[in-house]
Amino acid sequence: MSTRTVIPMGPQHPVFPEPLQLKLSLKDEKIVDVAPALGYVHRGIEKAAEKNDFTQNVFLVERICGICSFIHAVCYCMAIEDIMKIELPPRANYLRVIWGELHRLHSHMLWLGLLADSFGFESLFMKFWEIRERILDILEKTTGARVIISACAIGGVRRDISDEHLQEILTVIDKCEKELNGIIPVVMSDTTVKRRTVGVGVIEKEKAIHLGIVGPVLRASGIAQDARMTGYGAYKYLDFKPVVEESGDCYARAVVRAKETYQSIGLLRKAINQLPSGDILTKYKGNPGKAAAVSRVEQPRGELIYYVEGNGTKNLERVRVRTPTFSNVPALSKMLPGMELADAPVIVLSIDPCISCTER
Amino acid sequence: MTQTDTQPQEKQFPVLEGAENITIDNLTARVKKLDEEGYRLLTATCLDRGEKYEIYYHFDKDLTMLHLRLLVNKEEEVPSLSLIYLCAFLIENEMKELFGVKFSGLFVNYGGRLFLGEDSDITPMLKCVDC
Repeated sequence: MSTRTVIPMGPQHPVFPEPLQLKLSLKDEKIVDVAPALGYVHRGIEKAAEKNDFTQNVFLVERICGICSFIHAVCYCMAIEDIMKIELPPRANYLRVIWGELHRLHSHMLWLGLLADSFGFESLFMKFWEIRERILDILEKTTGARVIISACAIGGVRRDISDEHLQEILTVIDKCEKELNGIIPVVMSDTTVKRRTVGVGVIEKEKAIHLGIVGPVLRASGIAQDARMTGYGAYKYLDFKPVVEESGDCYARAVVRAKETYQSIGLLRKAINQLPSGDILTKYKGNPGKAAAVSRVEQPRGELIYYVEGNGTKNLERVRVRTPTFSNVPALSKMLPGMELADAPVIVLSIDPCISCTER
Repeated sequence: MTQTDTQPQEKQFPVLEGAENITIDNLTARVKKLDEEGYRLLTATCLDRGEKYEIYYHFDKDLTMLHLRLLVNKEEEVPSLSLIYLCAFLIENEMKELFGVKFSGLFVNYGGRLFLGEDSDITPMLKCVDC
């Protein structure tokens, strides 16, 4: 006869880069229930965004996340540009794609490394992070910062990328691709990786939409849904096709992210080769009027949505941020029950949780 | 996706373009229908409109968004969508904590403490009329 035991997983746990607590109810080694507990990194950023000048918010929203910071700024700026009817110069749209895909590339490599770390594959973890460093070096060269690059501005981008740096990006991503060719097959086909991920934490296609999951988690369940398919920015010129897997388990989520690293490299090459010349910033006057806009973009972790409402002053009436992890956390209550306690770290990591994004 | 038109009774606030007005009485039935039609619940946005809350429920199907707009008096209870869409429980608990929206039938109830600590201000997202 077994009784239920409640194990608090987190807020400090070796696989969590950020604090999150999951109260796991167990019957022997089997998980029967899960309750997420949040509130360790809430910073009140939505409230702060109402108090700031709308131009200062570009820097504020970048600080929601330390990994996909630039993409937060892009989404916020898109909403403001929609309200103020600002047309972007074509070059600015392409530069946003280039920096956005560089962020996705380093985020996915960070995650692939963490996945390897979660089941004790230390050498694979370090190799992914070594390659990731080269992308961070590019970000530093082109913007002066490694993570929070502050390159986005309302009306375009704040900086241009020189021809010399564009050439260097192409050289570096060629090198990264060669190195990834050596280690991504390990994620895809290694027996130890497969034994920890295949058939673990499954979300079936039929349940995926209903659960509200987003990003690679949704695409790993066989749903071809990616905000880049809407063609925002320069994506409409890049012949974007989402990466989709069918099995809906942790393995499929790893495969989606692994394939998306190659996809980002491909998008970077296309964007650089098609990059038009010209201005990078459209000047505008005044404040956002009494209007509301909803914008959405694709972060490495999934769909990001901003609702922004102006009131004619320099302060905004409301800035609402819906981040991908906020949508993926509830699905853990379907992924975890029925699995072994030892599977919990891999399953939780498979949604690539970003708690700073979730709590804002 | 902007709209500067205003409705006569709420002149001071904009309305999101294409938003479908909904009431407390038909909210659940409308959302059940959307669920059956394969819509995904993206999120909800709560706005403090003085005596009322304005809540937008955002849905998506095949990359097309649909917005439901609900105006409710602050003392009224809003039916929870968490029994239709499980993912609504975080969204509604957040609105309850930060705005003070009252929900009936909330599937998982954090009791008004999802993000904030015990010593934090209550409903910090409400507009401060004295500020």
